[in-house]
Amino acid sequence: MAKTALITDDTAFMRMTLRNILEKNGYKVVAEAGDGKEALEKYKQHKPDLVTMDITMPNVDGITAIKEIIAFDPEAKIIVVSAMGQKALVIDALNAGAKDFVVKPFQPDRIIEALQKLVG
Amino acid sequence: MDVLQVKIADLQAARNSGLLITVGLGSCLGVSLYDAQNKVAGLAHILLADSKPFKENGRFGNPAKFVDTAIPLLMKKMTALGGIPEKFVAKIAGGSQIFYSANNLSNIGEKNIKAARKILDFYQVPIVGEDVGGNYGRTMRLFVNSGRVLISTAGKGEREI
Amino acid sequence: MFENNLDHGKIDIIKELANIGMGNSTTALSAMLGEQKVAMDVPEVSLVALQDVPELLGGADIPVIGTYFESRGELRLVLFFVMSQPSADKVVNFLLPKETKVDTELYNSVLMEAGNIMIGAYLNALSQLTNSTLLSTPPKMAADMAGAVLGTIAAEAMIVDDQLILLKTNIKVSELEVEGSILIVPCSGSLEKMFSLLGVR
Repeated sequence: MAKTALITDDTAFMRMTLRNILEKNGYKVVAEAGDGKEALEKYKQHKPDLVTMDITMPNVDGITAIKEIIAFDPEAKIIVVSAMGQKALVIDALNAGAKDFVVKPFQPDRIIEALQKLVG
Repeated sequence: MDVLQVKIADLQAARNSGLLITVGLGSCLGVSLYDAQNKVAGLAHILLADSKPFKENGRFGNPAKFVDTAIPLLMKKMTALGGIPEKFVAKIAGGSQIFYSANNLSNIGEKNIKAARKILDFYQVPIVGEDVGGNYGRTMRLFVNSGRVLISTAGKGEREI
Repeated sequence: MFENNLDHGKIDIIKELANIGMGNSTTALSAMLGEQKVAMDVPEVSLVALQDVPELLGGADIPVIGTYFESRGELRLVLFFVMSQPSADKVVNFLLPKETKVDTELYNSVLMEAGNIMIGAYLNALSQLTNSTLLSTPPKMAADMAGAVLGTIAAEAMIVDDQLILLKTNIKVSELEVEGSILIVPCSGSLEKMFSLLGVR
């Protein structure tokens, strides 16, 4: 069965881009979220196998959302996809429980590689 | 005709003839004042509502930036040109919200409009025309000999207030 | 001509940081545009009167479209990536898959994401050089007269200094016939902070 994914990004364009990449590679996108708050809600609702998470978002940012999702499900598999590739942020995200960090702009292969590492 | 450009955070006054113009009001507020009897006109392009927070930290600078300091300064300039404050009438334009974002829409334009109403009321200057709010920029022209104010917006043409 | 104790040595440092940061932005833009060549002018550092800022984009009445960000970490910066409408149209068309139905929300989100990636790249470089963390606000976008857009940014970011230090560079994507500019204003006190992070006296 196809692995399920939740896409989190504040811009519709990036959600669309990630959806296209994931679907082309056999993943099933079960939900999209536009901020960290929505990401937690959608995670609880769908329990996806994978989550992509932006950092800079309105309301609740990505790092906070990672912490909240991990608190709800310590097994959550979250990869960060963000334009902000600064060392301290990568460390924060990994400490919060993210499994990988992809800096935008990215090649589609880089996203798939990160996801495959997590779910095989 | 003499044309006086009013830039961002700027104000100008003139008497008898000429044109005062300010281009590109976004969240900024254009305030025009006019004394019809003495043909004295003034126009300000104002950035923010309140000077107080900036007075405290020493970053105040040019008073034309703030509603509460620009309006009295404009009145003073016009009085120096022979205008009589009791005769002043105001027309205001701008205070729009031109930025689009996922949320967190700010209300700087609205605050500017509100502050101008309050300050003009304090000085007992009636507002006789306005074109404020919305989500587009405006250009404001004030004719010194008549007090006519024309507002133009890209794609929306020109109107008198 | 510079106030705020900016000597030539410090101006050179600001220029070099702008060069590296904006270079990172153009590299990111190039990667987004399928590795097309993106040319960048040498960044200019200037002291500009607040009233004259619209002249930098050709005048207050020039129509522009741009995305604006604030960095609110250790250094407070205002960052603005701006293009003409035809250039923006070309970027959006290039980035969207063929035959995508483009509504305003999608159009805006493409530009906001492009701005986000470029500004993110700038902040990433500056973060590394200053060993600090620089977070950005989510993007805001406007299409209007240069005067209206820049005046609104000044108001939003509470830039009320009568004189501003402004960094600017122009970029050009020849193949796509796209031209744009990056404007950056360090908010009051941020340059001093940056020099202290760099250990420059």
